[in-house]
Amino acid sequence: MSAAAPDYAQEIQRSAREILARTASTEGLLERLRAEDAAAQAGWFRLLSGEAAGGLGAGPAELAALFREIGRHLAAGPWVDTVVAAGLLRDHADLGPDTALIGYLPEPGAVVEFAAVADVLVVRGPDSIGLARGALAMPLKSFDLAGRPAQVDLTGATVEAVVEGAEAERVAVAIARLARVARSGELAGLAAAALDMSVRYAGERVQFDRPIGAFQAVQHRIAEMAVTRTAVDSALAAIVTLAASEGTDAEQAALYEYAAGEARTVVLSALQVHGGIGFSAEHPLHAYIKRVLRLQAVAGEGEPLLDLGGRLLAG
Amino acid sequence: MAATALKPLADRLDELRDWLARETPRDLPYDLDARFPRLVEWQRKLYDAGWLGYGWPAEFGGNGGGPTDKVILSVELARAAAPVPAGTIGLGVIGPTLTRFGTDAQRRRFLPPMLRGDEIWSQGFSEPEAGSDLASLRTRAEKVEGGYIVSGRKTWTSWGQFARWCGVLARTDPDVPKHKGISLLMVDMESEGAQTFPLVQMTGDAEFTETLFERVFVPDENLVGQPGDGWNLALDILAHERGPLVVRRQVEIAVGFEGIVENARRLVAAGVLADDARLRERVGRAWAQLRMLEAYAAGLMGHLVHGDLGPEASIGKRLVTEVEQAVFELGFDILGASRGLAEDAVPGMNADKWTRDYLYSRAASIYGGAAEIQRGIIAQRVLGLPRA
Repeated sequence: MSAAAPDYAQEIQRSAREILARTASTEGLLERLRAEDAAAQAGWFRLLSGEAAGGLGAGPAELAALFREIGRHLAAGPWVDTVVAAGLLRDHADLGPDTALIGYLPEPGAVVEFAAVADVLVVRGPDSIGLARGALAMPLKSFDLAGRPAQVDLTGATVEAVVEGAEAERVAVAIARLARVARSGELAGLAAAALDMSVRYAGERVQFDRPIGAFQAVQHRIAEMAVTRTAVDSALAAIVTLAASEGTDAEQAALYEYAAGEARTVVLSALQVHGGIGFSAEHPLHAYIKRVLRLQAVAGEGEPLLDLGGRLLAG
Repeated sequence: MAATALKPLADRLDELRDWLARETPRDLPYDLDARFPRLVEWQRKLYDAGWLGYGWPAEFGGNGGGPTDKVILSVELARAAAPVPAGTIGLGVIGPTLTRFGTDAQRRRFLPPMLRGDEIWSQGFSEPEAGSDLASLRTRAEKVEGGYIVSGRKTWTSWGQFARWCGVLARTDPDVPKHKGISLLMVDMESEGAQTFPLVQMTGDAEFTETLFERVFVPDENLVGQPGDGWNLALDILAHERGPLVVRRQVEIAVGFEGIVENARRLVAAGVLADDARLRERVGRAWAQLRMLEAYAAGLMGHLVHGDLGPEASIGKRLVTEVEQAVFELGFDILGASRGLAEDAVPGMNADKWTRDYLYSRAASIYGGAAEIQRGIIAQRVLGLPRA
């Protein structure tokens, strides 16, 4: 599936880390990336597109590497839709300039992150995927600072189909599969950042005349965070592997639900390590926690673990 | 054997799987005393067929091959639900130590019979007063002309009653800090003064013993490394044991999980287990944990190839333990009113086996470094948190 070299994922990760270290924050990132780094971002915007469409033809491993960094830096932006949905659709349709931001509406009524700032809204219809013009995006208030959700009103909008029939179904399934990879990568990055923050803080914060990280109760909590963080990473690796094979959506969705639960455990432990400082909004930890909670919520249409268990029991 | 041995084991997987499907003994008795000779026989068969020598130096009875060959073999054994060979402590712990740190004379003397299963090994590390705090062990090895006199008591010695040799950690220098005065000695269990007493575990089996040394003479040539190297050798042994253990155990747990799902179906059909949301969710979660662990183990194989697995192996040990305990707890809980019975209320439910497996899984967070020890290693040696 991926034409890229094995170390390509590492290269993506390095460049993403470098760009995000300069620009990331939950405020104004989009504007800055657009203004200053659009050219450098070309790799992101064309990551998944086929080489014929001027893309890099990368696969799930590279996608995971990019989103791991996006999560690690809590980088606000419509990256899942722009990188995944647009990446796959550029092979079929002209979506405008490389740097156009995309919103993807998988079904009517779904909440779309950053729909209000998207340049192009892509809509999955009953038998096609099309570009919507004149749609109304109504922002929803959210605790999550890194994703600005909106509801989309298609009344009065025109939708121009760009992919139809069986091909539309195939593309929609691929989008769902790769979006799960992207979101899992983001979860892994968020968990990694929360762990790093906790290790640093526990080494600096002094109580009872010593760094709190010298207390066994705190050490053991942080050690278990490292274990659980590794579980998120490994679940991500399994999700990446599954993304390359057809017909494994139930399995992938179950692993996503599992990974999100584990990531949640990690960020909540980070809050406990940070104590009152972590609960104060002046510290960035709360934004990581809320992002994980939202990512857990958006993935779970239905109950994938329960459904998969039912399938296994049915034989 | 010599001709095929040149081909890496990874390229002979089909052949190995066919062989295992044909040759794996399926009728082993549960009783340990009756079972053990069959496990010795099984080891010899594996060796004679050329499989067990993979990953061991050719000049000392092995076939040569790379560092992951032993892991591949253990994974294939687990996948075939084949028994672990009798000499598992020798093959997994003492043998690799001798390969890396022994003298040529020691390797020549000890490795060939260890591989063939002619000589079974145990490890004498833990003591009644030195479990997690292994470095405070009290067994003494007093220097005398031509060797050492070993006195002390070891406990939880796996396969102690069957072992011809025991790798013993003993204090050779009581006057230096406790980590520095320990040495590793290979003790012949046929020596005068060496005795074992079977210890029954909570599973009902007696897989380990108390091991008593009363002024046992050990010749100089049976010292591994230098006097005082014992602690570092023990740390190295335990760390090297962890990676391969995770890879093999992950497959064994996956095989266990398949049996548990099959049993759940049987119990649902018999009307003694409700196929409800609680059950489904637990089955789905256990499946996800296993897939997570499988992906982790795949990444670990790369580190085993490069031999660069350090203290982070403790993370793997924690992960595999967590999954093992969750899976076998599920296997136990679905037995419902039959939990803890050794007789089957529903034909084929195997309450005895699943109860034993559950009880055994509780040892996973105790042996090979308790969970608390692993957390300490992760906090201080992986994450660099300050020592108290």
